[in-house]
Amino acid sequence: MGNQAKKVTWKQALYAHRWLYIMIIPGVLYMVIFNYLPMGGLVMAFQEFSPYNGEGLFGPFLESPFVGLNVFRKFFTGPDFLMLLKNTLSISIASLIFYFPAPIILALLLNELGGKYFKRITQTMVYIPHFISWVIVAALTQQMFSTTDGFVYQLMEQIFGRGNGPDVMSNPGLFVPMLIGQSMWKETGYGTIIFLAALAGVDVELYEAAKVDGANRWQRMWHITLPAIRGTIVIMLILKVGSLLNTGYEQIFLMQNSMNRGVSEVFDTYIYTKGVVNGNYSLATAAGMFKSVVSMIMVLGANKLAKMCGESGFY
Amino acid sequence: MSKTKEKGTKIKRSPGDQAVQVLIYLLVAAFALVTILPFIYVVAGSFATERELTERAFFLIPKTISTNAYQYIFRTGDAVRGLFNSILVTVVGTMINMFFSCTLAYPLSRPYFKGRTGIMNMVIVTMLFSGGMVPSYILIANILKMKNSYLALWLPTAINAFNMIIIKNYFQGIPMELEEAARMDGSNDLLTFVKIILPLSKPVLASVGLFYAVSHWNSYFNAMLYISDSKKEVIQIVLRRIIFLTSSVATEGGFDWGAFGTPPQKAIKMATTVVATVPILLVYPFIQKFFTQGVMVGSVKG
Amino acid sequence: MTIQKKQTAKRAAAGMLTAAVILSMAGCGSSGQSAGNQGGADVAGGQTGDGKPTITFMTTSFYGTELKNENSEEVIRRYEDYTGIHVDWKWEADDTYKEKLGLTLMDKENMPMIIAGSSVITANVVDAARKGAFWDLAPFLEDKESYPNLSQANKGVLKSFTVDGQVIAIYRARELGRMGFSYRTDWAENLGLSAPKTVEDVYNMLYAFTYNDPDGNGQDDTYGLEMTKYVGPLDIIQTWFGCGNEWVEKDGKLIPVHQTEEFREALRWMRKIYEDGLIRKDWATVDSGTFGDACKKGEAGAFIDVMDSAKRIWNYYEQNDIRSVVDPDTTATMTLVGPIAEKTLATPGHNGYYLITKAGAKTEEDVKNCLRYLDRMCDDEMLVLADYGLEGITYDINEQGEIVLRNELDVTQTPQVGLNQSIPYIPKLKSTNPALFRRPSEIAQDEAYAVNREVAVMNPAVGYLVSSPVNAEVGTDIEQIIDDARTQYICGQIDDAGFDAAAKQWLDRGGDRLIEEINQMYQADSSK
Repeated sequence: MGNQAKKVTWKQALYAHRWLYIMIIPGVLYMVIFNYLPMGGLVMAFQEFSPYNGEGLFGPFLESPFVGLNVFRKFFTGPDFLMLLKNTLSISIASLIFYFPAPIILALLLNELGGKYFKRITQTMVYIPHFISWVIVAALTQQMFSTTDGFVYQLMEQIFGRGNGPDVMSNPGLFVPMLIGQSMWKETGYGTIIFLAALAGVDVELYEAAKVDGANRWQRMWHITLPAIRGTIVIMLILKVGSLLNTGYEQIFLMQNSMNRGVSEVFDTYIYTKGVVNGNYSLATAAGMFKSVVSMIMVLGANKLAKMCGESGFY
Repeated sequence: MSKTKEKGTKIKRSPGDQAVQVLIYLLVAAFALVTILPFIYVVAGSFATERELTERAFFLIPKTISTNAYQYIFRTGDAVRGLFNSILVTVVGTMINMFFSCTLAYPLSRPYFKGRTGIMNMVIVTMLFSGGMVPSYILIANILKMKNSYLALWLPTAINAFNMIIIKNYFQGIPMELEEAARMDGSNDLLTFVKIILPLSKPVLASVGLFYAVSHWNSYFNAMLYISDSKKEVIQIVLRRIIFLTSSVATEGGFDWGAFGTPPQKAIKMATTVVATVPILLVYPFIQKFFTQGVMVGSVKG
Repeated sequence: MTIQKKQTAKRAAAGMLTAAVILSMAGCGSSGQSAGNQGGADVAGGQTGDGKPTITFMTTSFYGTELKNENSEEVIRRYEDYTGIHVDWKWEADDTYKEKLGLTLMDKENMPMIIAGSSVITANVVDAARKGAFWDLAPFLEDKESYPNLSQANKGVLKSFTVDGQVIAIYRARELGRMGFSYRTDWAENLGLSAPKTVEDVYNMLYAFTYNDPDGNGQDDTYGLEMTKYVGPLDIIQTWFGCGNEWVEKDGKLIPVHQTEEFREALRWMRKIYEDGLIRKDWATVDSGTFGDACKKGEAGAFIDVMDSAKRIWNYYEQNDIRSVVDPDTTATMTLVGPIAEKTLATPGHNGYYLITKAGAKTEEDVKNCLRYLDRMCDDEMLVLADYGLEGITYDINEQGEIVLRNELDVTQTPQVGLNQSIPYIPKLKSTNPALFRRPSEIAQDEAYAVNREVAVMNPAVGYLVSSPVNAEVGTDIEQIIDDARTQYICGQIDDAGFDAAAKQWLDRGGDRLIEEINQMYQADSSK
């Protein structure tokens, strides 16, 4: 086919690829209706929103008093903001450093396995925890690590001495490691799926050829396996960086208690308490918007960085 | 045709490398064990008596087997109906997801598609910004009148931007020669998509399909918010209600179990986990074959 | 897969998809008639076929089967005949009820006449009340003739539902005297201890349970008081020292209890029992869902919380044949003492509320119908119907005229399930004639309630907190500071200086404004 002439009119391009434009209609329609229309609700962040204002369904949105950036100001200058920021960031950054590589490493290890049944069985086993709800995970953690009768704790005491075991339940210093540990247990297996799928696209003959050429395991991994999943890793990394202020609320909410609250109160738990329980929609929306803006900056920045390093990024 | 990796390759391994291989097996086995032990406890607990669960901290085999918890869960037709509903919601939902996601992803993956950057930006924005639950509820329940219909579970979540991007990137990775060859044979964009690209995308379709399916299977908040007909409830709702009914919280609020006898609370909590997860767990082994290496072999040649 | 197969698969998929979409459209259409969907503004205030006025009622659905079981029609017929009102129910799932409440307030077209709520009214509701969303029920409640039951509502409790002088809701009554002290009877007997009366008696009992081998098995495997991260028991213990219930009056002013000397005394006592090993060292991390387990397992012997939880532990011993350590022929029991030092904590006296909306109940006639329903449902005959069901189906009457439950049906299958969600239980919490047959554990529980009721300490500020904007703003946050500090103090993480710092933080974060505001309202309140 060769290169197309640069001077192609819009109409010609549209017709030449008319099927593509038709195909894209459902998706775009979906986004407009279900993503963009509700974004109108973001006005709540600039209002003193109350559900009972005004008439009809849109009444509260139209009638609630406009307060400009007041809600944001209150949020940023409130006594909690810095603490929330610090807690949220420590969890996210620790997660990025320790949790992020885990599925990749596991995927690489699984890729090295030869036995077909062993591989299939272990793959199925490691992905089970993803389906166990956080409620159960929290209960199990408490049962295992209780300083009174937790059997894992007692095992630890054998190693570290009586009373010196890791008190993950109440020691504020151990809260973040405990969260990361839980996440690693629960999500690593499921997280390998995406990398394994990428690896499935690798031509087996490349490995054979490499072996014949005398490449050892690590060289094969470096030159064949890793490049195959590099694109996927980059995408996941960009996204992870973009989620810097998101920690999810359920896991943390369940593991919070009086002893560790100083480090366990994060944006998502704050938004839940204020927004849902107290019904302060304005504050919840403003906090959410703040997170979104930061996310956007991080994602675009990371994407640009990736492009500069020669990766394909999102676009 | 595709080949799977043969067992016992003819190349000799050095003893050092053999040791590493063994180490890898051990590591994977250890991790697999750690992940599965708590689940075995949950399964064991679901078949145990309430007393044993109160007294023993952790066990893999119950001293006394009791199916009370399961009897309790299945004593009405709710749980079975819930399972059927969940299957319906998941299967149809996933098909809708894949349809919308693939049709959006393909054009975005073609470098000559005008408007590519613009639409991609649209997508990224939807990933980052959201109006929240209140406007969505008004849209879905009041404006579109999807209350009490499964459409409320299928349409609002039709595309997960991240999944769509995964698919798009995979499409991008398929060599252009294939498309060009098809075009020379007189194929248009649609046919190329259906006959060439899709069949080659099995790994990503399988994995993203799984992601969507799992998400449908596990979701309960939207179902709780929009579905009021108890005949339409999905299994997660049924199970959550059972857990709530048998929890201490329920008895606080002014209604008393004393009248009708106490159900085995802890065992039920475990049994509901088993009932909720086993069906979807069974899907993965079937999908796994799409992750076998060498699926792509032969596609580029000729 | 060959290309042909792919085509067929695609066609099949498309076909299934279309079918599914059509099916759900059908589902969408029929939902318009289902009871769960209140598009019917025209039904509000209207009449049913047989001439009864209709009210719309939104309340919590726990079971999914409310009033939809076999024989439920009979139940419905009975209450409709008795009250003379037809009810259009709007059941909303408990998990998402809070969200639904907020959303319902937004939709004035479809507002139900009565909206039920749980525990205390939230800032949302207070705000809506200020904007005139609800009827002021005070004048109606004076009418003893029309509302013989509701007019007996406890004025103190009604204060919790008064915003700017208007009574915006009827509360759902809960036993005031629910909380108290209980212990394992046989352990005490084994050690020669009698029911404690003072705080010191309690200490001695806890000590003995921990160190004197109350179950006589020669092993050091027991301790005194069961505690989990749920801090309710601490609030109860505090009252024994005389510090009050959240707020207390001192020198004509209301102050928060953590500022009193009695509170510090209670704190020190609680720290002592922690240091002496009478409660488990990691109590603050234990899942509150397991509260009661330690006693059931025979690890702990004392229990401080609502009396019916102690009763439930007693029932557990019976059901699981846990033997008494002094008399192996009988099963273990709990002694429900109740107050210590002649004091105990009062519950708020309510467990939910009913709002009557202006957008739903448009005329005074509608309001009267709503109130009439709520009032008449508090009569014995309706209490029996809602709590116990239908004679001959779910219960029988024995020779003493008591109600004996058959316990054949599962709770979710009973004909009357859900009906009790709409009863205020004023003035009686259960039917007295006929009354339910009670087991020894239940009789003990009721007796304990009676004793507690006399001496339960209430929160004098409860009515003002509801209407206080400062409280809505910072209330829960600053309360958390004190709760956390209390826990940390008990566990030795901080000491007096640390608690002082927390108390100061409480003040700085809005507590001082709160005290000021509450006292303003206190002084202005002529009816105190």
